[in-house]
Amino acid sequence: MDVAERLDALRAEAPGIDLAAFADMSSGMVLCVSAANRRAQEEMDALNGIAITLLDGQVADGANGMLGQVAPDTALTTTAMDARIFLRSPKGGSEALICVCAPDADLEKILDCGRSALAGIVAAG
Amino acid sequence: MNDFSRLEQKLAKLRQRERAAGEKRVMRGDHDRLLAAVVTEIDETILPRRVSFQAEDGPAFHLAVANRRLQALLAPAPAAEGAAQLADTALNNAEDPNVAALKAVLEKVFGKADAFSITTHKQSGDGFPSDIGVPAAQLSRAWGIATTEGTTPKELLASFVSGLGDRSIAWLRIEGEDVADQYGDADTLGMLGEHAAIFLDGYLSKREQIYQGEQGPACLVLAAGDATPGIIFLDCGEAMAFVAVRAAAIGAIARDWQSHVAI
Repeated sequence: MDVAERLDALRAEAPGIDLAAFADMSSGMVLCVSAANRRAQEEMDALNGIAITLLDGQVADGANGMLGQVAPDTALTTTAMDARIFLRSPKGGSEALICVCAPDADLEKILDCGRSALAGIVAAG
Repeated sequence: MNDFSRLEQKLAKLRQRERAAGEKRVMRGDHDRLLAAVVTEIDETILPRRVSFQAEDGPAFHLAVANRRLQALLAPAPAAEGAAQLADTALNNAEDPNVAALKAVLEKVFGKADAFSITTHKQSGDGFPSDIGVPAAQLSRAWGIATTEGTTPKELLASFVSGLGDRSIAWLRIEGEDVADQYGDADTLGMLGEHAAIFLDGYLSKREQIYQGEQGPACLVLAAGDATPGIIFLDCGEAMAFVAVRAAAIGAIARDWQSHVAI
């Protein structure tokens, strides 16, 4: 299964995901996207920027003391508009899975399925 | 808030996130939450629509909704006592006895499933006259649904964290520049207090980027593996809270927060 197929499978498995993307935070590039509708590159760039801020950047640095001096591997934001999940690849890699979900999505399930999908993508190389 | 400002706010949201025709959404929870979600759906529907609620491998029901009014339960009626008599029968106003009867039917349906997908489609045929039906606000009162209307974000936040009980390890609630309340393990509270200002430095400088201009209650969760507690930061402007929870619980608590601020 290639990356696009894994992202499609994730969206099929966990209802409520409007968009799933695989990104490389070190290069700042979104490498693959699965979404119901075509999304603008600017939106992808913005999402990757948020992933970097939360998992590696200023917010991650600020939370360091609260997380036992360890960088976060999971970040999640919610507003009335949506819920967004940002997962770092296992073993502290620079790849990330980004999911933009409906505000009432089952976040537990998406976290579980997202971690499995990301592990599968990274393991497949 | 008057109808115009409410509509403007709604349209602004719709401009940001266009909902594709037939796009599926999901509502979950106990009877009260499901009933409240139905009313919210009605409140957000202006054009005449057939709104369908379908449980996976379970019951379904369909409502005629227009102009933010519930107009009728539509056929096919769900397999619940009293449902068939209500199908395709217009609800005239909040005093219509069928309004209470419909609530009873929905509660029977909700007893069979706790998650329903929601899809909307144009109503077939001529539909009902636009002035027929029960406005969402009146329906909410008739069905006895508790809403957050009139509740300040500060109160919302306070009721949420105080309701967490031992699902949280500790929390710190802040109003303005003061710690308004706290709960839980002393060491964890000390840790939260010690690092809160450093966190806020980074967070507040990036808030606009993180939420992309979205206003209203927001939540940020950070976790670093299963061994360390996850941190949930709840942001209601002048009121905020740091909540330390088991990492495995972050998804459930974030979802509960969404439900808490949505109703």
